[in-house]
Order: sequence, then structure tokens, then C-alpha cells
Amino acid sequence: MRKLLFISGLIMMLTGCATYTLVEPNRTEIGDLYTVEPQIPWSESTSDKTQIWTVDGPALQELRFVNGIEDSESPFVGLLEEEKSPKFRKGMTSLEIKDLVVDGLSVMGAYKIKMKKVKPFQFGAHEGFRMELDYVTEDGLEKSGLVVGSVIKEKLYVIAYTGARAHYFAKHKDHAEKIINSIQMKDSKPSAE
Amino acid sequence: MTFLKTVLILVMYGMCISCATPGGEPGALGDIKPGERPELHTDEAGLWMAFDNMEEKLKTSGRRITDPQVNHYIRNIVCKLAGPQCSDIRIYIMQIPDFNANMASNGMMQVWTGLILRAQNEAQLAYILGHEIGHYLRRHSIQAWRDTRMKSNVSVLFQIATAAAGVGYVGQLGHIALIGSIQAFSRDNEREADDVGFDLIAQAGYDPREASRIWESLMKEHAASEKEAPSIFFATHPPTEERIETLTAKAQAVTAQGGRFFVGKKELEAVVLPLRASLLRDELRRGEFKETQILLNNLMKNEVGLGQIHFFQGELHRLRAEPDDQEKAVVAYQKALEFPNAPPEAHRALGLFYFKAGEKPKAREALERYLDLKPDGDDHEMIREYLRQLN
Repeated sequence: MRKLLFISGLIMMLTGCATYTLVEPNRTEIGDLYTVEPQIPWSESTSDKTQIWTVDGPALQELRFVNGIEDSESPFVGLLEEEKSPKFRKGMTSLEIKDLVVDGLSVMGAYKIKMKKVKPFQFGAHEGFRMELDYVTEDGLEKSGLVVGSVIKEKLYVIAYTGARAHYFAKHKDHAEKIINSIQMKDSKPSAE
Repeated sequence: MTFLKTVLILVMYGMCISCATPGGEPGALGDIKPGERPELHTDEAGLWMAFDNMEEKLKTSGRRITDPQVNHYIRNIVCKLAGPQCSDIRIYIMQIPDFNANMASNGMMQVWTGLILRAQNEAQLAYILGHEIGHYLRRHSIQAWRDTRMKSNVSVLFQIATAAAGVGYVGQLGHIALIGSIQAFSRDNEREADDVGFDLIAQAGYDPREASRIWESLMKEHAASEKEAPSIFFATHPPTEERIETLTAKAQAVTAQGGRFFVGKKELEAVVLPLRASLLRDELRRGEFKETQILLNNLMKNEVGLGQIHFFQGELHRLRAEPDDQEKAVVAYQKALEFPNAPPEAHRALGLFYFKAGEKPKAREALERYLDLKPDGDDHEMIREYLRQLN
């Protein structure tokens, strides 16, 4: 079964089936829980519980929204083999989720991870965490990341902005910061903007 | 994309081999001599070129461990074993938690951190390195390549690619694993490398009894894993009973003559201990908890840094999250704190457990203790927030 999935994945890669749509710089829904202000136009690809926005291509920089991961599910679904994927557990503290994200990044090929500025973060109306990190990929590419996350109604939500440290991460970091700070829960009233 | 790159490398590799003029028939080749490079018109030169290209990627790989102490230590062992060939061997210590080492015909040696973590002493590590040097000295790569070409020619490219995928590494390890998978040597080659590796460690004064012991440990770990697909090293180096019996008999013959044999337990520990927390964290990230349990059991028997080992035992339970694992994790963290070298993270783990359980005084005490021990940890602001919520 795993081989069949692998071959299917390979065919999908070869046929280049990832399709992108334009995200206009107007308040946009992320999953079914919240909205953000995109600031600029982005290209978006979506799959199941993940939305990926990029300007220059995901290998150079991407803003990844992972939405509504349930108990015993992995936020890295589709990126890692099932048995190697660290799993979210509904009772996890924000620090444990931060460790979960770092574990997943590491298994995906992030090395020499240096954590910076791990702090509490208000994810819309919910408590969460925020961290910045630097790491190196298997190919030796230096990357940086900005990650926020929270558990809302026993489900995990993560936003991760990552990019090549040379130029591409910095290019849209301010936009990513503004997007993260514009989170507005759909069941709450809009705040003054 | 990594897989596509791998296939591309393979195709280029096949092209470069097929362009080379055959330099001889498969069969016994002379040992490689110090400083020797194959003639440019030979298929062996083509193989070297493919490995040279792969080596360029290793040099800048994010996985490469550049810590000078461990690099110096491994190089010293290799030089003790390889003698005049030492300067022809380039060592790359790679941050990969699986048990593996391999050596390509161009002198590129990879040592994976999973091997360094699992070797119980320097003699065991030296034996595995000696075995790989045996493959290099006897030119097994080119023998294996010629044999494979004879058997299946072009279709082998696809088979190698899919075999590599079958061990579950191509997605993440790409060309690094490919080097190992290309070198799936014949049983005769394995026996020969065993013999050479054994002779090299015996000549260097290592305790030859450790050769069979590391295979035995590997067999136990594999048996515990119950995995369908074996680890990459296990797949290419099956640790058979015959292999262990042969090495045991040879060791008995050597030790019967008397003499002093070097084991090097403390020497290996001095190099590994500063890295061990990071290596154990990588080990847990494999998600192979049964194998990791065997490893932790072995490390506990060594009785070095027990606070750290009990902490990672707790982490295993926390991450595995099976019924009763939470309680087992707490017991392991508490046990860790009985030892003077317990990592501060044991206090943090306990504090977070009590925090979730609503046991406020215990949570406060554990988290405050963690902050006392690690006031500048990257998570100190988060810990202070938890303490604020507890007050």
C-alpha cells in the first residue's frame, strides 16, 4: 500500500499537478476558523488542511497555514512518512507544540536549528507561541523561519513563514508579520484596523 | 524533488559509466595502492567520478557534523587502521541517526551519527570502520558495479532507485543513502571485508572480541523493531549467525595467544558524551521506539550519564503516548533527577506535566527550578508565562 502511495505521489510530482491560484490582497479566509490580511498578492496551493502561499516559489519562501490538526494527527501530513511524523496530542502545552514543530522540521531535513525569541503569542483571541529560528537544509541552504501556533477547540493551528536566509526570507518577512498580526477569528467581531 | 534529483544522478551515473571503455572483466582485482587513481579510460574512473560528484554535495550538506573533536577522533581511528592509505580517505560524519557507515571507491567515507551513538567502545567503532576500509582496499565497489552490469545492465538503474526507495530513505536522504545502496556487496565481498576489518583492528591492538559483539547488538535491535524494511546498514550488511560465529572463532584464536587488547570505552565516551543529548534527540525523532528502547537499555548498562539516559527514557514515553506512558514518563523524569548530571529539561518536563494536571505547587516548584538552572534557555519567556498563570 505504501509503495502504491509512493508511486501515486511520484506520478503527481512528474505531472506537476500542484496548481496555484491568486490570493488578492483583501481579507482572506484561512480554513474555516479565521481570516487574515494578505498585504500583497500571493500564489496559493492548497491540500486538505494546508494552505501554502508564496511569491517566488516555495523552495525560496513560503507562508504555510496548517489548519485544524486533530488529536493523534500530524501537522506534517503529506510531508513525512506516517510513522516518522510527530503527532499532535490535544493536551499539549504551547511549549510542547513548539518542540513538536522543531522535531518535524528536523525530520524533514532542517539541521543545525537555532531557536530565537520563543515567546507567548496571542493567536487571534487564543493563547499560543511564537518563535524564530535559523537552520540549514540537507543541501546546505541556510534558511530562517517565523512560526506561530495555538490550540483552539482541541485542534492545532500553525502558521510558518520560511525562506532562504539570503534575500528571500527578509523580502516578505514584514508582510508575514503583518499577516500573522492580522489574525481575526471568524466568530469574533472585527477589531479596529 | 529529492527523488527526481536522485534519479537524475543515477541516469548521469549510468551515462558516465557506459561512456567509459570497459577496463576489465569482473573478478579479483588487486588491492588499491596508496595514492592510486584509476586510469581515465576505465569504468572504475567513471565510478570514481560519480562518487566525486556525490562527495561535493556532502561537503556542504547541512547534515555534516563539523565538530573538530569528533572529526579528529574518528580520523585517528581510521589512520590507525588504514596506515599508508589514511591520507587517501576523507571522512564525513553525517547527522543521520541510523546505524551506518560506508565507503566509496574514491576514498569518501561516511560515518553516520547513529553508529557513533550505538558503538559501546572504540574497538566496536573501529571494527565497523575497518570493515568499510576493507571494502575500499579490495575495490568492492567496482566489483559490485561490474557484477550488477553483467546481470541486468540498464534496468539496474531503476532497480537501484526503487531499492533505495524501499528502505524508506530516498525522500529524506537522497544521494547520501544512494551511495550505500549502490554498495550492496555480495556475500563473498562481505566476508572479505569482515576478514580485512578484523585483521586491521587486531593489528592495531583493539580487542577483537568486540567485532562480533557489535553485530550481536545490531541483531537484537533489529529483532525488537519488527519492521518489514530493514535499516539501510542491516539491508546491505546482514548480520548473520554465520558472520558472528566466524568473527567469534577468529577472536578466540587471537586472544588465546595472550596479550593486551584495547577496548577504549572511556575514550569513546569522552567524545560522545558532549554530543549525546543531541544524538539521542535525533534518535527519538526516528519514531522507532522499540529500537530506541534497546539502545537506551544498552546505555543504561554502561552506567555513564544515567540522569540523561533516564530523561530520554521519559521523553520516549512522552512521545510514544501509549496507555500508561504519561505515568511512566513522570517516573523516568523523577528517576533522572536522582542523578547529579540530570539535564535541567527533566525539571521542565515534570513542570509541564504538573501544569497540565493542575498540580500548581509542584508545577511551580519544577518550573522555577528549571529557570534557576537554565535562566537563558530559549524558552525562558514561555516558562515565565506559565509561572505567571500559576500565581
